[in-house]
Amino acid sequence: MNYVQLEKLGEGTYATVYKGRSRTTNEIVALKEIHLDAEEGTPSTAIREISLMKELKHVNIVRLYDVIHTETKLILIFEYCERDLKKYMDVHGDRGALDPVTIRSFMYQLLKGTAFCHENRVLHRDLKPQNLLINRKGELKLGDFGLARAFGVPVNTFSNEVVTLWYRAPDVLMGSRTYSTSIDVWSCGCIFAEMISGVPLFRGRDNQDQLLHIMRVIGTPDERTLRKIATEGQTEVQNQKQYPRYPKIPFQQVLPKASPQAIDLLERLLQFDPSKRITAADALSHPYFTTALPFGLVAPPGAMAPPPYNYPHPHAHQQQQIQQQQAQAQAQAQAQAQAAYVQAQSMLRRQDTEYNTLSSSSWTLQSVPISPFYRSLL
Amino acid sequence: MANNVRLPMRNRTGPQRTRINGDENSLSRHVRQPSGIALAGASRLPVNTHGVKNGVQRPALGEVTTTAVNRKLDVGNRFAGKEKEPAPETGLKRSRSSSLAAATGPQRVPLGPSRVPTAVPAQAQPRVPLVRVHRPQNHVRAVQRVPIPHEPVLPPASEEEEDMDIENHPTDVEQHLSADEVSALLAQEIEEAMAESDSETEDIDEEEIERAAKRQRIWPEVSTERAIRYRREVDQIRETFEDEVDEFDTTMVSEYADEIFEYMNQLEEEVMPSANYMDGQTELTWEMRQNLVDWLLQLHLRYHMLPETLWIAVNIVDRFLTKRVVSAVKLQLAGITAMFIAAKYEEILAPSVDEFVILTQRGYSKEDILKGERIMLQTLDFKISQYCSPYSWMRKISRADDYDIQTRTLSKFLTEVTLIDYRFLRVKPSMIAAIGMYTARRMLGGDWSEAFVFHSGFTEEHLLPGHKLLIDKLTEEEFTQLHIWNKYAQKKFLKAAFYAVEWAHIHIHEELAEGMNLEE
Repeated sequence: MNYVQLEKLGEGTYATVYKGRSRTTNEIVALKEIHLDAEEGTPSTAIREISLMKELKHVNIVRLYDVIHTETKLILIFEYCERDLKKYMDVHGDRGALDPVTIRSFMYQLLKGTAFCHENRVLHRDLKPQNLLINRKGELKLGDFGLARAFGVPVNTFSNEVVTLWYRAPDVLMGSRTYSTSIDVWSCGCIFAEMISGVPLFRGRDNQDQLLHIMRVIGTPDERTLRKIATEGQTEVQNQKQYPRYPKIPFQQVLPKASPQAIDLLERLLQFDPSKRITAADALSHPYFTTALPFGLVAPPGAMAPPPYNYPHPHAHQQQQIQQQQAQAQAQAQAQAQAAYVQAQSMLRRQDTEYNTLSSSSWTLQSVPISPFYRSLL
Repeated sequence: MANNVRLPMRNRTGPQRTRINGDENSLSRHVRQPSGIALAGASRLPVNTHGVKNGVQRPALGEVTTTAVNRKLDVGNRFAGKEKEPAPETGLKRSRSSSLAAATGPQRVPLGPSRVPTAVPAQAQPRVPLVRVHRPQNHVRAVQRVPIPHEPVLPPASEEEEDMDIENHPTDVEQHLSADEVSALLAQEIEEAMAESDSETEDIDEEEIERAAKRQRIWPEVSTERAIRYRREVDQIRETFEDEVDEFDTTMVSEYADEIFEYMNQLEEEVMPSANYMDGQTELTWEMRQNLVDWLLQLHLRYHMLPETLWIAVNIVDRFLTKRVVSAVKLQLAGITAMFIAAKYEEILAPSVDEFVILTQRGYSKEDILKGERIMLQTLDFKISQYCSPYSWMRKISRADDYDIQTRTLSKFLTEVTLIDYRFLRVKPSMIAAIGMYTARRMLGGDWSEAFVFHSGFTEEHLLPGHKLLIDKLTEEEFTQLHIWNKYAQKKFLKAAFYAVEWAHIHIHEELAEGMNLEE
């Protein structure tokens, strides 16, 4: 084998992840070992993940280098990232909460990766901190495309058993199978809030409880919206649930630490009605990213710029060239500043020798210290 | 409790499961509901259409079956009537091949001119006897009663090969070799296959296949001048035509639609099979492909799968055959395996491998299919998602007449006809969609207005050659004996097949006469 298998990084439901080193280049990689089912052969999740990841080449998406397919197992060789966002928050956060500069950087990269997926008609369907990987350079990358799939236009119906409960959009909770890109946007919103506060925003026990948790914060939507979403979910009309009428709590109360612009973006990401949710691409040009940091924070100028280099977008070459030229001029100045910033950050991080799993499910959500701070507000 | 427990994406419910239709078309929603129609249709078919005619003749796939049957004792037992006793393996293969040669012989004759007559659509006459032999209805019979064995009957060079009778493509060998360093893990039989293919005589064919694969496939082949003119015409309309977008329909992903279609237009050429891969195949014919696709269509219908699944499966088969030489006995295995992969990829709940085994009447074992899956995925380099079926484009074009249900149902039928006809292998899915919509429009008396040009990106003149091929296919003598006709003759598809075939017969002469000057 071309790779030396090193220590185990984590174990998931259908795969085990090891750290590995390439024999030829000495590069550190992540080896995701999937056991082939003697009954059903290659899991559908693996077929989708490999196929889609071969398409998606972007700096904010974990790269798939190679696939080794044998009779008994399938080994995916991925770009190595030190830790996932969950772990990062535990280690670097103040009780999980990250500083505004880091949040803005991560949020930008998260939306960038998500927008790229959507432009390439791929839904990730399982965005959560455990599936976002952070490398030494402070780059955030979407990982674990096991639940992802390509969609057509218009979008087909899909399974509604997707996305880890706490990051699942309300329309999906209500049974919608016609969800689309907005499903990932909701998860981005949840992750955003979690980075600000340090704890997951909505922590339900089950589908219904999750929905109530959401309504308790963003308020119960009006009857019309509810009915519209319920019919999309094809829940039996006679069986339609009556939901308690909760008023909306301003996010400022829920997340006192957040800046007004962050609140505004969060508001747009966490819309109950999927058709009103902002798109990932539009969110990238929200004032939260385009204006200076508030509170006189000493942020290196341009810390939020997209990474200085970018894998070619698989389409729109011509457009991109023009854009690139424009962006390059702009970005160059910013990039230098960012590089300095990133370097400083990675220096700090280098102390940590502890490595984390690649997209493992071993991080149970339950292990998160639960302090429902906003409940006291209710 | 089960916060991050992932529910299995697929389980083993059978055809009885209820699902919501993935297609937004209300009509095909019924496709999802378990109904006996498909089954009934399938079993009824041979009796209705062929009971008399083909008493003796055998279909391509089925036929191979009967000849090969005795090589397996257990299989042979079921054929007590036909096969007397199993003889020693090799001897049998030899003796069998003579009877087989009677049927498949003509196709195995050196490639090229000898097969051309079958490839020319207009000259249906000389082909007829051959077609009889490969009649799909017979094939159904085979599927129902005759187990299909999984060992090669027509041993080419590789008689002793215990592998899938599929020779490695030279380029694949290279890939594997580089991966070989990687591979304490690589399966042994792959290495064996590699070693074998090095020494095998198939090399010439494979080179040929490869050369064929590299040939330009943009279709129809028009002069640069004309291509520029098409482009200009479409661009003109695109500039002036105004389209209003329904922002509240999230399923149309209007925010990303432009990017997505642009991306798909780029992808579609990447995953096109070679249009003439049959030249490199030693035992297969286009008729066999048609039978296979028609059979896949039947089981696709029977399992109420999503419309895209069939397209993906056929694309997988075609791309696989572009790269690998497959024996006639293994063709059905390739087909069922492709369907297995496509279902896993596309369906919310895919049928289990056991169900696929049953579908081939245990002609292949579970191990065969799982092994086939591995070989196929490797051959295709796991590129499944890269293929986009015409459905997205069809729905897009459908905006032009505000999603008229008749036009769309008819065009669904017509696009599926192109799936069966190998002559459309060279046509991109986006154009297939446009040809289907154009022909449907024409049959229903509509014109190809600016709105259609805008949404499809094709002008009428551009679509005419494909339209004619389609009309030609519909008027083929045996067309109404195919399952595709049966499927779309059903009420839930507004009996689109009836209408289309009748229309084609009435209008064929004027249709083919029109624009004769277009032929270059």
